[in-house]
Amino acid sequence: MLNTKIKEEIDHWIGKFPEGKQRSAIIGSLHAVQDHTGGYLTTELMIEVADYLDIPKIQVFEVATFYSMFQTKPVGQHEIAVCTNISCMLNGSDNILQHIEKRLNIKAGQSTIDGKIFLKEEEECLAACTGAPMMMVDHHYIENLDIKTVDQILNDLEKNND
Amino acid sequence: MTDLNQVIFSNIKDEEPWSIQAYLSSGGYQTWKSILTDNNNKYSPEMIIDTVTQSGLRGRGGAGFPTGKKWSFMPESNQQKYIVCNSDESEPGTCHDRDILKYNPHALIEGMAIAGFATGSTVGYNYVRGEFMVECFPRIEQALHEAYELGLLGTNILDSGIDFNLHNFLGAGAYIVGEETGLLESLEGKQGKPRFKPPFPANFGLYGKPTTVNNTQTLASIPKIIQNGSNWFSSFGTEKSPGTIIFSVSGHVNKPGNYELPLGISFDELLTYAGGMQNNKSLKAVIPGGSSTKVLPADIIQSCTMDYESLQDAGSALGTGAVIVIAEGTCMVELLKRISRFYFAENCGQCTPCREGTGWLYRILDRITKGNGKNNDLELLVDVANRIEGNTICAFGDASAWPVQSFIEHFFNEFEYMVKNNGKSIAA
Amino acid sequence: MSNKKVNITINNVLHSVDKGRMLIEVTDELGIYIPRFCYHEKLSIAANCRMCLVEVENSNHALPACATTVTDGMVVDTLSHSTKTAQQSTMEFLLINHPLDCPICDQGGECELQDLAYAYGKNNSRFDLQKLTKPNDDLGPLVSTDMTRCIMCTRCTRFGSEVAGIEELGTMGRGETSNISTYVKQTVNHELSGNIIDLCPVGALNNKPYRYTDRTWEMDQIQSVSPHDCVGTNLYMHVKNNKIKRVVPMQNESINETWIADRDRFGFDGIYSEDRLLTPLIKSNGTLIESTIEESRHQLNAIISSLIQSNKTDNIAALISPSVSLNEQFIFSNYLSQLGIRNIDHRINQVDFSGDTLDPLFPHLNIELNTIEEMETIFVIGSDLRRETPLISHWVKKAANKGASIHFMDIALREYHFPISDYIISDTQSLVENIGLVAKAASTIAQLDVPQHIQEQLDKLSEPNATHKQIAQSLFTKTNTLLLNGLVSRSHSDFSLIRSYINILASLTNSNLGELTSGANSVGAYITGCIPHRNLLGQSSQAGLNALEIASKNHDLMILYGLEIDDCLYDQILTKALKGSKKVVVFNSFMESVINDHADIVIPINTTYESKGSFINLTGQVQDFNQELLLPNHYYSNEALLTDLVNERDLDIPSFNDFIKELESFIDQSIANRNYIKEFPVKTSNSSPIDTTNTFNMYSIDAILRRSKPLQQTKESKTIT
Repeated sequence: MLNTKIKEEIDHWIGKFPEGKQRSAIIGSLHAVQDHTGGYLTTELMIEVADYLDIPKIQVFEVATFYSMFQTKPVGQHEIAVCTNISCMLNGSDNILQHIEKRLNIKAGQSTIDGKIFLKEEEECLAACTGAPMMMVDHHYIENLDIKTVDQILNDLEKNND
Repeated sequence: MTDLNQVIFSNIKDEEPWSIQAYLSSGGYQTWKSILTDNNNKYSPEMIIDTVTQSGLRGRGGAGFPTGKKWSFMPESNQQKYIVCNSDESEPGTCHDRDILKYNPHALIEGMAIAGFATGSTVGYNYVRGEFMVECFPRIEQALHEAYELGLLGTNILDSGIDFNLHNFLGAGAYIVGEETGLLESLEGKQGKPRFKPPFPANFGLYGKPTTVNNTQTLASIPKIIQNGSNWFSSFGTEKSPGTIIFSVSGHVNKPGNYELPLGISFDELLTYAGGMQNNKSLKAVIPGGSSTKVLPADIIQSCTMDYESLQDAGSALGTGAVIVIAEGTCMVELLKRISRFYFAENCGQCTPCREGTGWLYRILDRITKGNGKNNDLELLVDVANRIEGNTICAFGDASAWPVQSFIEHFFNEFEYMVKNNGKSIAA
Repeated sequence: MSNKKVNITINNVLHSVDKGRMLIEVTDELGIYIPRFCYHEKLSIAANCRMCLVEVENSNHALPACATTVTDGMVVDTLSHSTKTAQQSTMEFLLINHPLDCPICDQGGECELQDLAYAYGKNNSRFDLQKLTKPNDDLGPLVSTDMTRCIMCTRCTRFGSEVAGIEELGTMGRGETSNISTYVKQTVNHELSGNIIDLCPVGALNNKPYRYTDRTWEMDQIQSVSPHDCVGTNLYMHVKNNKIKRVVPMQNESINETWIADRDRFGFDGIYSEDRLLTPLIKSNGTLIESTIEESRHQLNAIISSLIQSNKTDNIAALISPSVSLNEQFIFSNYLSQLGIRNIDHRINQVDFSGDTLDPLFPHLNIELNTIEEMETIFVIGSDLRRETPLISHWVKKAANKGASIHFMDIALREYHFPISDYIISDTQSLVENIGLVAKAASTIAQLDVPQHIQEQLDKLSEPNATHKQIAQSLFTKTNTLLLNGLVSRSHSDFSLIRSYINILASLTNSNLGELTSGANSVGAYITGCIPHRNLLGQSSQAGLNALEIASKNHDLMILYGLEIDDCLYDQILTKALKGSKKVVVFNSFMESVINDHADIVIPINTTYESKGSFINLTGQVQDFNQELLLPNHYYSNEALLTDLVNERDLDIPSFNDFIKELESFIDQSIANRNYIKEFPVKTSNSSPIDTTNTFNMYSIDAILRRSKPLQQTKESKTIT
């Protein structure tokens, strides 16, 4: 269900665009929905967004399936994305990723069994190359990683309940 | 050593340089206010465009197109026009626009306002990549809020009769929206699939209206250029590559970082700024302008100066100024495979060569690294890359082809070795 | 389009061509072929397939011909080495993931990918990795999906958003795994959806009912005309062993462009229904027993003779379907009129006949169908336009796309996929008042004097509101305007009054006028005298009973030609009449339960899908079809049957050939005269108690459609009873 808060956020996005161009608010709307519900976009939610924006449903589906940040299947509560693009690869990102996979006992693209952590399949450079290797935790950038820092973060996430 | 941070990052050492107070006290918004309060027609759109043209500023997003010229393409007409900033920084190796949004967002805002005035665009959009949602989007939003609070944006700003409304837009993760028409499609609420050109955005852009799309760094350079004059800007750099650029230096260097320096400095000087090679290793290769530019082996890059012409003559390009430094001991096959994986994952799927070809390239490289390379795989890789290049709707195809062509050209023996030795790397 | 020309050189030959066109349009016109997949002249440019890349001088890489405008001095080489390399590259990329399905793919033999691979590809493949597969959606009973074959040309999605106006299919995902899909489980329901079958250049979207039946090279192609509405859509039937296997569009830019409605495409299936009548039947001791054509003919003529002798000609009545071929209408109508039988009608969906004396020579649209696109204002009254005439709705949409203002007045809110300026919804009662008010608003704006009797009638109405005035104003200020009067209107209990108001409105605003009619040949029915108040070519006659009157009485002899109970708006009343009539003779292609119960003689006739004949569409175009090839040797045409019926009585009916000679000029003149009705009907009876608000189910309006299995499985058929 789109609650008042989500609708307010959608309205905020709609207000940025000319009259009749509310389709431009799809991405902002889907962010609002995804962040404030279970972390992924159900078909029902997407249809609600389409109805609220008064646009064909399929336009919402197309956007949701095109952009990497939108999840259309259930995922873990916290999202970790390890950048393994060139600069990060040159600075040991592969080791970092392997370590995390081993520690969480999942592969990139999967979520932990307890539903706490989703380890994203990450290809796109996150534009933090000078801080390589780095990862994104719930969209927070954490750069200049080493195994120790990674472990600390994972500990915090596993303890953290929000 | 050449002076650092003379244009966009000139304020970087100030306290909270991103706040409007800091920006104002270092002379920010002077130019914009001068334009708004100008009664003598000193600051006409023509004058602004002329100044920018004279300064020699070239698009910093990768293509290097002269900015003043791009602005002059906007038609004189009464219809709605738009100025759009491409803050979808996603070119591997590049991370300077992030710092602009974080440390000098007002330079971007003022730059967009001036660009809006010059091109007759009363509305602007700053398209920020989705992953910057927490990292720097709040800050550019806050800056925008501050500018509105002080009445520097909106309608009939400071009673000037000039309108300019600016909005920040957040993307959702797709490298391809960094292509200007892909960005416009995304801004319109669609998948970010690039449009074929012509028509160009100046004629048919956002919502079909005349639009200019510029990079963050390009727009953030504008206030200082107008304030200090075109000669000031072109006094930096070289004749054909005037001005400064922010180099994002990363890879096997001791002090990776963003260094705003004049164009034309030697590669060696830049490397010195970046603290030299990690672990004293020797230089093997450099990708000079982001992964879409061709790799250059050490002996070639070391005789280059960091500007458009020198790098082009060397067979590569300045691109985004993202300098990725690669040390001896790196397996070039694995590196190319990783780069190819990026293009494979990020191709939009719209046109045939990319959609079908990038996966093919990646999978051939993958099987080579797994010891299943075939004898004519290298020839096949280059031929497939050649058949993608030039045949696609946008430059993404070329960008996916160039790494393959250049890596195999310059490091053929590594590839050959791995094919012949069941996946073993010569660099190991 | 400016008339300026530019000079371009193609393959070393200089041509002078229109400025501003795309290269591929120019080469197509010149007959120089450039291969393509995603380009289609009726859709926007996508430029994504990259098959049309050609070498253009001064460009350092090949350019897509579909997205490159011709410029003066351009030099193009469609046969050069670099053009060929680009073509081969594209073809190689397309084939790396395309499955080797040819042996099991319906598209084989008419596949653009096959053809172009053969002509422009290489003869070997270098790809030795695993091919991708894509999932399939169930789009419904009409269109099959094999999306692994899809080359992502997006013709289907562009058709949806640009032509149909509804986006049911989209491109999901990104990169090599992107796929054309509905995403959610739903069928593709638009009434023109079948056209994506033709558009798809590969076997990804195919004709589901036709799947695995035949190969294209085994079939013959026969031109035809759709028998399901008054548009006269042009078709090709693909026939093998005297059986229709499938129907595809025939291009006719003035009627249906390159499109056909789903009911035009899949309707034919009905003719192979199990309840097809093949032998005549005569009732004996309460049951229908097989007989012969001769015997049934004799008996019919005998019944007629006996009734004529006892001066009971007026107790004979005939109802004929509005979809009967012109030659059959001609013979049937003349047969009856020569015998003095006046009770004949085809208007089985009409209840108000008070305006019969005001009838035009035939109901029609006075402009060509493709001229609808040029209209600036269109006002549609009383019509479920998409269901009644899908292709006219398509033309109206084209006008809307060009900025025309479209206004609707109807008894229900229907869904249209184009911008609508006004939509007046009124209940059945007030539909009349509402159209009257628009006419009244127009009379106020009109500069000329409105005739007194019209003014008096208009004065009886209340005051027009802002919307009425807006519509009237729009019809005045624009030059190219059109009024369309639909089938909801035609079956209204005050149809004649509504029609008068519409005509007056048209006359005041100098608008074009179109009267939609049921079936494929109402126009022919009027002209051949299949109406009680006129004879051949509009000559007036002493009036007989109209359709409703015929259906409401018990007769000594009731004849039904080509129609079933369900074709008629007042089916229950008609059933009673059949029950109560002394003798019932039915000419039909199918066996129907009501016929079974009440007919005394049943004579099988061929459907128009198997006949030689013609229809006149609503713009007055006479279109022939000749499908006699479909039937085996013992074929007995309807025309022959009726001629024998006539000859048995030694009647002297006019020559059909003479009639045909006169026909074209008769039609042209009648349309050119533009005689708007300027009188009001005199209502002789009270409002009919018949409920005329039944929802129009576009797949059950005639006997053939009701038996078409694919159409009966569609969502449309299943949701409306």
